[in-house]
Amino acid sequence: MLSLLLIAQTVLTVFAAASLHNAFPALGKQFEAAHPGVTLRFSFNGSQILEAQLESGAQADVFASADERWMDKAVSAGAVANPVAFASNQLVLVVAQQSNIASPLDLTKPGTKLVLCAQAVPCGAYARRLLAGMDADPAYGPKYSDAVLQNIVSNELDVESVLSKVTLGEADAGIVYRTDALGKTSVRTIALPVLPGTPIAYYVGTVHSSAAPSDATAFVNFVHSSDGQKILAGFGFTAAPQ
Amino acid sequence: MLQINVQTALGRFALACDLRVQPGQALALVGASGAGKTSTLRAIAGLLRPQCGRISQDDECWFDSERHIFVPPQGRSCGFVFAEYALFGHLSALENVAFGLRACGSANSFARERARELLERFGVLSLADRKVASLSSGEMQRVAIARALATSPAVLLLDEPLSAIDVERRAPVREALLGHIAQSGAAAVVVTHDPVEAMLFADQLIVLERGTVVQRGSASQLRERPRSSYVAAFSGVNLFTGTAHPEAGGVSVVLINGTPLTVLGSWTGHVAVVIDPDSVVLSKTRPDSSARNCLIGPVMHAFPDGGAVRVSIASSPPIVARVTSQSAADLDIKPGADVVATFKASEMRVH
Amino acid sequence: MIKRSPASAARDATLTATALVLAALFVLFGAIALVALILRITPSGMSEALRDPVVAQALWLSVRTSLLSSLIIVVFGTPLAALLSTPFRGRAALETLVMLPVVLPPVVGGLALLLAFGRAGLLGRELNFFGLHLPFTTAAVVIAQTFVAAPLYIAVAKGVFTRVDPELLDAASTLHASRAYTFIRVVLPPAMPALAGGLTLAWARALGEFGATITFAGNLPGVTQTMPIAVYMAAQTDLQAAIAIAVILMVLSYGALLAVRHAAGDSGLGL
Repeated sequence: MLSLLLIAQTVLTVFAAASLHNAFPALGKQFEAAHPGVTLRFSFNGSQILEAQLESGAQADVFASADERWMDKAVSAGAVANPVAFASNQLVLVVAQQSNIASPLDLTKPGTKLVLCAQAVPCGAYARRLLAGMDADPAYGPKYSDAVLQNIVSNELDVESVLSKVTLGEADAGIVYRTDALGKTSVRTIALPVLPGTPIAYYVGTVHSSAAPSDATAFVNFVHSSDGQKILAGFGFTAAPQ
Repeated sequence: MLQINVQTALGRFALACDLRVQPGQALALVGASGAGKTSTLRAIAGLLRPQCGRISQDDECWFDSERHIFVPPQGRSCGFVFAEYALFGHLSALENVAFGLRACGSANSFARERARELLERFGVLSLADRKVASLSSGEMQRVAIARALATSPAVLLLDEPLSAIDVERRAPVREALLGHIAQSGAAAVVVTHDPVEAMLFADQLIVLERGTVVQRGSASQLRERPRSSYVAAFSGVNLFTGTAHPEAGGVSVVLINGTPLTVLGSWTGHVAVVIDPDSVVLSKTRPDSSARNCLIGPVMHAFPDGGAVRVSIASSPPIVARVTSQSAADLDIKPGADVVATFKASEMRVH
Repeated sequence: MIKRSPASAARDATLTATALVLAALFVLFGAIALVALILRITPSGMSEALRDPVVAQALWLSVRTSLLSSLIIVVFGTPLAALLSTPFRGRAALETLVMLPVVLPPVVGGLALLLAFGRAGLLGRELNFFGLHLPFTTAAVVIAQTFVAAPLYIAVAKGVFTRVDPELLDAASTLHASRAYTFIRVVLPPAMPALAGGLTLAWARALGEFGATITFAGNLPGVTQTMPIAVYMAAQTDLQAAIAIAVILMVLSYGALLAVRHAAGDSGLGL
């Protein structure tokens, strides 16, 4: 009886962007409950790192990227097929509790220590795009992004490092996903504008070399089913852009 | 004058040594290995701190356990010749010898000049710029001696100073050392377990056995009245000094206190002659043999030594013979009885 | 006459062969990784990387920070190693403390440095008072490198100083040399080749340092982005660039190691 159970067990390996590290396990639990015989195993990392691993032939069944750039690369490398957008996110400014930064305008003050994710990390690319976009807003002015970028003291490798530098008080401010800042009492969150045009988009797709393509597809479908979307919303994600 | 009176634990036994050395004099510290000779030297130099006692050189107190005085080696005017030389391998012979003077702040040129003088005195000036690692042990030992003398120490401590030098070549080094000691007025303590070296070097000998001084005195005093079998065996080396002149037939005659002894080879001037007690034959009357040398005198004492007997004879010069217990019994050896000692010229060693 | 038995000769041959095979496998393992790296270079990739200002910046930053770290390590590490080679109460505790960075994961080391010398760290206020703000500066890079690499040099130096023949020290003291004079004239000169080897080891470690640097100093081109960080960053977007930078780093390190080995004579790393 036990051996039959073991044979029937499929393990799906899901490579997922780091910012999904709370939401996806929750999704996974519900999926496993609905699909006995399937176990989900997650590998969370920067989307850029996961993509490089897939290109080098790492074994996975599903890939969820935090931006279009890395999903496109995975597709053109032939690793992933038919990706779909399944969620969106927002960027926020996090500052130390005792800091006197009150608005995004304060980031232009000389001497402010700002940390962002590196350009290759989706969060970092989004942040730079947002800052550049804010130049068009008269509330910030055309010199806004230059002034802010001058204040960058470090390009961190992941959101966790950005958060920890701000939490420790070493950096004055950092830009992270809203979902990462939720519930963190050690830092203060300041909202950033959401610009139309190039929104944050999370993509998910099945990996070509998957050993369980039907199960992988089932999971992908679950992610953008209404049940899946409800779970994602519960963690602060918003609906995918159209 | 160097005065020492120290007691300290040394592993399995306690060292208790007291000795005095007058300036310009050499004292030989002898004993079996492990008896505490090197430890005594190290204590004098300040490399070992005894548990109690006093060490002083003239009016300088170097160590006093009661008054809690301890002068480190750097503050003692002591030159030390180590048994293993302890030369600085990365420096040349000259730099080694100049080391002490430079460490005291002397000018480089002065130190090097003095070093050259000393190297020359000990016959190794030609090696001045050679790295010491490339020298033979005999050469290294001479450099070590020169190095110890460079700072003109008031006390000279020598641990087996000539052991690596060929026996035939020791005389000039020994002369140079003894000359330096007499000239500079240094007090010298020599550690050796070679009886001949001890006797040639020093007038006074101190015998250490397991940390205790068992006997002190001149070579002849030790030989005449040994207080232990070690002392007897050690001092029972027949060492005579006299003047030699060569004769025909490849032999020389050495006059020792008026008595002529025949030795092989051509020798002139002041020499030391050694004959092993085992090579001395005893008999009641003068035998008819090829042995050229013959001494007659009464037995002073007979000291058992394993299966043999050491017989000390008050001849002129006095001689010690070592014969089997059986032979001693056969010849009826007892104090006072006259006996004839003969030995061959070929078995005598000349220094 | 006693001769060696054929059985023992055969055993000897087997042992030698086994040792050779094990050694060869081990060497091959490392060599294959290096060869794989080199095989992926393209001439265009290399020339592009060499002309990239970010690469030049990273290279220059790595060279000057690692050299400065090495200088600090030898100046402070040599007396410390000399101290550790003499017995005293608490020596074992001090030694453990000094060797600690070796067993700490580099990121943990960087975090420790941050918590100690960061703006909000233990000494933050004091450093602030003197106008010293360390995180995100090139100075922090040097500190992080020194922290992780110093133990390597100190361990080698301490080993060398401990192995000095005590009789030489005795001889020097009877020749009126103070402890300092003895150390400089008797202990140091013959120790030079081994010390050079230890310093090279420390320098190589400093050059390759990543985790502590990025945690304590951060990552900003020209200021704190050293070669290893540049390689890591490049690998995420442009593999060719990453390989090119990695190869430059490899050539630089290997060249320096060869130069030191040549200068230090046949004692090599003197370990």
